[in-house]
Amino acid sequence: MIIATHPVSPEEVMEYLDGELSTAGAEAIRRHIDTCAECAGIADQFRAESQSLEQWNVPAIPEELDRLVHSAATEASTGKKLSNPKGIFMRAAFWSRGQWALRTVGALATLGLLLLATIPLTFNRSYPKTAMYEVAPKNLTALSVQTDQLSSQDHPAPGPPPLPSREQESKELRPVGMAAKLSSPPPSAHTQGDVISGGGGGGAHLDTFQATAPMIARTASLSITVKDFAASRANLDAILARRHGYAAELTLSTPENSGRSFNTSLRIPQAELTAATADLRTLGRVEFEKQSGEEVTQQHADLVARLKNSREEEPE
Amino acid sequence: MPETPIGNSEVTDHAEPASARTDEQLMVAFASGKVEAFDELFSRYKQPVFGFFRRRLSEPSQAQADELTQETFLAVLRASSRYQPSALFRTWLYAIGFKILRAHRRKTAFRATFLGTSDRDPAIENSILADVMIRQAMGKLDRLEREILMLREFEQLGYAEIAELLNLPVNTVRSRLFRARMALRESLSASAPALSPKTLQQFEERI
Repeated sequence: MIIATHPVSPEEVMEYLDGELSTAGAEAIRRHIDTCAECAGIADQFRAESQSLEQWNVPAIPEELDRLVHSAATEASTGKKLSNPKGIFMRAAFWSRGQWALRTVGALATLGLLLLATIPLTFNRSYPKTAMYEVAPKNLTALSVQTDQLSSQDHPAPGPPPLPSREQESKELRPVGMAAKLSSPPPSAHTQGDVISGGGGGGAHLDTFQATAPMIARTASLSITVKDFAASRANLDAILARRHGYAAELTLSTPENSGRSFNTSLRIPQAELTAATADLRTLGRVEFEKQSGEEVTQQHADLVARLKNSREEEPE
Repeated sequence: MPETPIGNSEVTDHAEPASARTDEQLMVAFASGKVEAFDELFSRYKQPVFGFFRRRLSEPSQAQADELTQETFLAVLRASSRYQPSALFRTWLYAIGFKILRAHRRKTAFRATFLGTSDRDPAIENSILADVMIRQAMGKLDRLEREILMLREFEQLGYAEIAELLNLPVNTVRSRLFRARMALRESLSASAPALSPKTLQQFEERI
């Protein structure tokens, strides 16, 4: 083997034989090989190896390809679009890795969307729409109420009352609950409320629900402006007591130079939701109302299973 | 290494015969509607491209080498309008060949997995002893090193062209090529004694 101090490495000999060196570099190696028997031996080995590989012959290409390719070339030169014998599979062979990744992600996303769209449709098909509400469990309804009162001191008589802006109100709205705004001074009362009712979360009733019934969590949101803040709040408590609900959350704010606001989330039994919402509407002028429903069957099933497991694991 | 001038691809309607023009000039001439330019390119590369597929396909698939060759040239025809003469034609041609080869291998692997049709047939048909020895010795090489060695030895590509095709640095191509040659030498010298008398007889019976 060539020692470290040898001026030419075997790799350089290989490069020389492959014609990869510059003219000067190749000339230098050639002169060295002429005088160095060791390097000449290495070069001979490389040559012999290439010669042995030359023995790996392949037969001649079938002649009919000439005619086929020539006619295809003639078609292509006349602007005709060549047919692709392999269709999408051959086109896919020319996709780059990025294209593959993009198309795979796109296909998976489409599949996911299709599944999302198909499963609820299939599920709901077995239940008439009206039945969904009829079989909905007697759950608690969540209400959040926000009240807002503008005092006469805050807003002097002349000029329009500086009611809180709509943007601010909408930001204060919560996904679940009712918001009521009470304004005392101005000509009108402003109340805003959101009501949401949930059909799947009543813990006491979980075990009694039929697993096959779709469970709907209903949510109502109300924004109400009222004239008398204190009276409206008392009325709200009365409604709550009458409809067997409770306040899950209460927030009262009295910002300076602005109306008072009262934001609360109420939970009402499902059967009382409609009546409770109607009662709340009587508190003042409804500025905003929204109702929505969410199917929580799966969450309910999970809860039942977890509850069951917990009970089984409970030490006797 | 065969030198092919690039960057001198201006198409002039000179009386120069097609055989005297570079690949790149011919390709540009074909893009301007000259079918004979493509015929010349095909005659230059049909056998090398056919050999490219034949040497890379396993035995039962070798019969499809002509089909893949045809597909390669059809792909060249379809993509001729997008060809940039700044690139060597043969590098571009073999890049297309690689894509078609990969697609074929994927298809074969799919069939083997899901349809149970194996592409590995122990029968070696129409092979001569040297082919078998070299194929076996090449089969023992690292996949990348084998590819570099084949591109250099059979397709006669330069280091820079191989680097471009396989998306590798030129220095890596050089070092891996050297290692491949060393490994092949060992493999060939080790297999040579094993092929004598009994093995030789077995192979000859198959021919």
